[in-house]
Amino acid sequence: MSLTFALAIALTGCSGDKAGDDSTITVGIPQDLDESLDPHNATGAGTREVLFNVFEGLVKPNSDGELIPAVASEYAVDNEGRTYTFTLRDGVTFHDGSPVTVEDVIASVEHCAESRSGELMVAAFSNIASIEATDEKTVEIKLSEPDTDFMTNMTMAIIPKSHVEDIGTNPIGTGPYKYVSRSPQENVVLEKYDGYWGEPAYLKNVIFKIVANTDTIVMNLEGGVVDIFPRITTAQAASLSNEFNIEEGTMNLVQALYLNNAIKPFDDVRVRQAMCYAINPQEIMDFVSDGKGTEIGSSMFPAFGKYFMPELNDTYNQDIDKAKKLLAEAGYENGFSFTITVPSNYVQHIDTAQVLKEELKAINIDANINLVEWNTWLSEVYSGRNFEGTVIGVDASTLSPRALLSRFESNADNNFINFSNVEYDKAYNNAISCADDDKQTQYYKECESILANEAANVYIQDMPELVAINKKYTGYEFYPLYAQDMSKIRPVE
Amino acid sequence: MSDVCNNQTRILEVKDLFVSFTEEKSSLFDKKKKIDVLNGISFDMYEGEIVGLVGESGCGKSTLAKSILGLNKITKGDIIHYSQYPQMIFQDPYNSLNPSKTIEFILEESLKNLTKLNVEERRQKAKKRLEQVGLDDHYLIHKPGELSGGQRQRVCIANALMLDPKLLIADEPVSALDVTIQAQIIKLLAGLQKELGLSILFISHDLRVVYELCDRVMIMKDGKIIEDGTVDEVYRNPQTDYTKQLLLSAGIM
Amino acid sequence: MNLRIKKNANSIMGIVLTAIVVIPAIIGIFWTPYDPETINGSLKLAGASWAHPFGCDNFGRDILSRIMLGSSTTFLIGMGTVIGGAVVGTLVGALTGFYGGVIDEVLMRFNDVMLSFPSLLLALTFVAIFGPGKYRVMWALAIAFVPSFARIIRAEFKRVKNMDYVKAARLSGASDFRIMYVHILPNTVKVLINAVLIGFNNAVLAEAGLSFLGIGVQPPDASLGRMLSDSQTYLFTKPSYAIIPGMAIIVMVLGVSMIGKEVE
Repeated sequence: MSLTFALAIALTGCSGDKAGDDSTITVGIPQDLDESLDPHNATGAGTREVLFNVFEGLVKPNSDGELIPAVASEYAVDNEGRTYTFTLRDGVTFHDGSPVTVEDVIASVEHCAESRSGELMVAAFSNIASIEATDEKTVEIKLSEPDTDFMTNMTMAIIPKSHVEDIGTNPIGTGPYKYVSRSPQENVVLEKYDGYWGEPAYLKNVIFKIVANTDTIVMNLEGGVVDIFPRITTAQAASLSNEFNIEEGTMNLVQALYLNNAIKPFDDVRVRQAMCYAINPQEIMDFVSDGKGTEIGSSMFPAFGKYFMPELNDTYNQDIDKAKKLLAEAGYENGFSFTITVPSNYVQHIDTAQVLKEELKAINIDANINLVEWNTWLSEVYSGRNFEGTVIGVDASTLSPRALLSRFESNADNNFINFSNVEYDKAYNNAISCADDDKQTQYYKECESILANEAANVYIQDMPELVAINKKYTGYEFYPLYAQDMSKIRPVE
Repeated sequence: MSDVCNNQTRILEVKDLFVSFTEEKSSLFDKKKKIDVLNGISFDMYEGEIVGLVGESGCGKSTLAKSILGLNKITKGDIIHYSQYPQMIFQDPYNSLNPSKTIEFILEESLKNLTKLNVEERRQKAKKRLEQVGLDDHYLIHKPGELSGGQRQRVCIANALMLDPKLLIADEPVSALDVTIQAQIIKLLAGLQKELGLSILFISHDLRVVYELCDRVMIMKDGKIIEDGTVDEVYRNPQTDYTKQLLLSAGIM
Repeated sequence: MNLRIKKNANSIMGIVLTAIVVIPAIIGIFWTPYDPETINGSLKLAGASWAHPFGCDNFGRDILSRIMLGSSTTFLIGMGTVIGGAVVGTLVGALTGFYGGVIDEVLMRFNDVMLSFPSLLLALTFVAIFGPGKYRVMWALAIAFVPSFARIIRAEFKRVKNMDYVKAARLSGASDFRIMYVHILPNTVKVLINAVLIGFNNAVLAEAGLSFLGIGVQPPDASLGRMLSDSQTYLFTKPSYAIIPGMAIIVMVLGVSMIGKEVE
């Protein structure tokens, strides 16, 4: 570990010189950041991915989705999963030059506990029984209930105690880049922090430029206004000249035809299974994203590593006869019609719905597509659960499999498909209360298998994420969470 | 009061008539502006009489005509008709015939609304009236746009006669026409008056025409009738300076 | 003489242009070369060929078939919108223009408020209330178009009502309804036809706008606006996909407005 670390520093030292002092890169982002830049209140994924460069937690995720020590150099968990001890790293300073102290850490946890929205986070932070500094380098957090997932929440940003009040307008963190300025609807400017404790960034200046009209992104890239644009469409990527590389990753979400399990005819497992047999994820990917994308068979995607079960992809392989037989058994030999509600701002989901409609025709199911505004979708479909089917991608808010699986527990507030299965509830509860990692993983996998076998949803894919990057630069890394890690980007020699 | 006086049958009685208009508001919250047009007009008309109504433009002649026929709201006063369906001949024959209808449709409109005549009877009557105003019955199928000004005014007269009215109000019926045509129309009106025993209120600013056509003349100024008498009396012995001036400028005195 | 020929040429041109779009659209209601909704992966974004003269879209659907069906959808929405808007607008305009008074004041102030919003924005609001879909878009647009028709017809009724021939009709014993329907309405036809033609064009553009924004005609239904919306991602890779429905809209609107000029 320490060897690779030393090597990395040596490499950096060398290319850092070549970059010069005024190197600037411009990253296109589709929307402006939240008004407040408070990392504990940043609800927008677009804000979080920018602030990833400015703030760090006691631990932080690497591009493989593993947690690595950051502001804390070491941490320890007791066997029960009840007491967490963090040792602060030497020499970590905030962007204003002041060193990070245990008081700052405690203030950060308290501020975050007050600010957090999102059910998993609230639950995790309200579980904290006490937090105290055992010496000037050590913080100890005790939980009321054992929680093996607690560590994933410790990626929350460490902020200076003196700036707790104005952190939203004066975002001071410990990350490789410091905040310089922002112009609303125009850009956010970051500058390399020379006092960074770790591997320093290569480029001096980073400008996140807001390109609200994504239709113009090709012109912006070709004209040299923007150097990097994440989440470009396949069609746009195809029209870019060879001055750009297209890096391909995944969006880290579960795209599926989500069905309201509580209403007819979707309350019959045979109907849902029939629909799974009727569709072909690869055909959808061919139409929607030129064949790119990763097939999935349950509510889990590959970025979760050991939790992902590729074998579930084969639970249902397209088989029209089998599908028709299942429908007939359920009493729908003549098929039925239903409505797929899709938010109108997601072209990929709309296109997916169109392919699904055609595929379902083969078993006499007539799907109507109803496009609605995003806010209507949120209130009617997601909160109101007033829908038959919907195509959407569900992402994970933390790096825990719980983030994807908790919603299918019968009584979960965000169980918008009304999935209800006793076996599932049992497996899920076993998983979250289990301290042994291997066993826990088994329980989570059991959950995934149940979702697949019960055909809770018609699973399709983890959608491809394409990033256009000017050939002058290299080093782009995909993260399983929303993050644009600019510190790894470096000029090509 | 009885409808017989001086051995003549009364056909119209106007008593103390006031009319004022409110100016169109330019916005919802504007105050309404009131303009007095007729200030206490009283007169009678008798059967078979042609009465000239003379005055400068803007003195209220047209308003009086329309008020008599119920085409305006009146503010105060009484208008009593002793005959059915009094009619009007308008000044501008280009404006008084519906451009989208045939002459036949226009002429038969009143018969459709107010009589029980059948199609054939209506057509016969329309033909007869056209003939009386000196027009061929092939004009029935024409639209007003295909007719000359004089022809149009003849159609208007025919139209006014469709319901066999006793009282006609002619509001400057010739002022929009060529001089030669004017004489023909005046002659036609005089002839019809004798033939049908009509009473005509003849509104004009031309004292010469009034002298030729009318039995009686009323001079109007600022919404009031300032002189009323036989043509001979008024033209020979005007009682007001205003009438004298009118006669002078017309070159009669 | 020259002018007349020129005018004739203008209207012939208008009829020809309109026919270029409308005839295939009418055929499209009953028959298209291929099923406009069947997707086919092997034909995805296929170029022009004898089998598919306009090529295929991103789902491998025949663009010619979709243009035929799409034009008819757009045409019918345009027609439905102006007919609905014109009928209700004429009713409102006739009553307010003829009677005037308080009803006129109230309705017209309301009308002014409605008119101060662009009709597309208004339609957007109604779509938000009714929800999207082919027929609901038609209703939304029709309601949004009522105020402009009402205003035009009201002005016409106000003008014609003061004509001497209307007074003559009153002296002929015609009822209010008869005066409005028989004596005034036919004389507003010229203005009405013109308004209908302009309205039709606006409705076609509004449908395109709404569908382009994704809240008009719903996929996989085809309309010209929907096709434009679908094609925008392929603007650089397959420009003909966007150009063809765009041209269809231009030709339809141009043709109708040339005919409209003639009527004027």
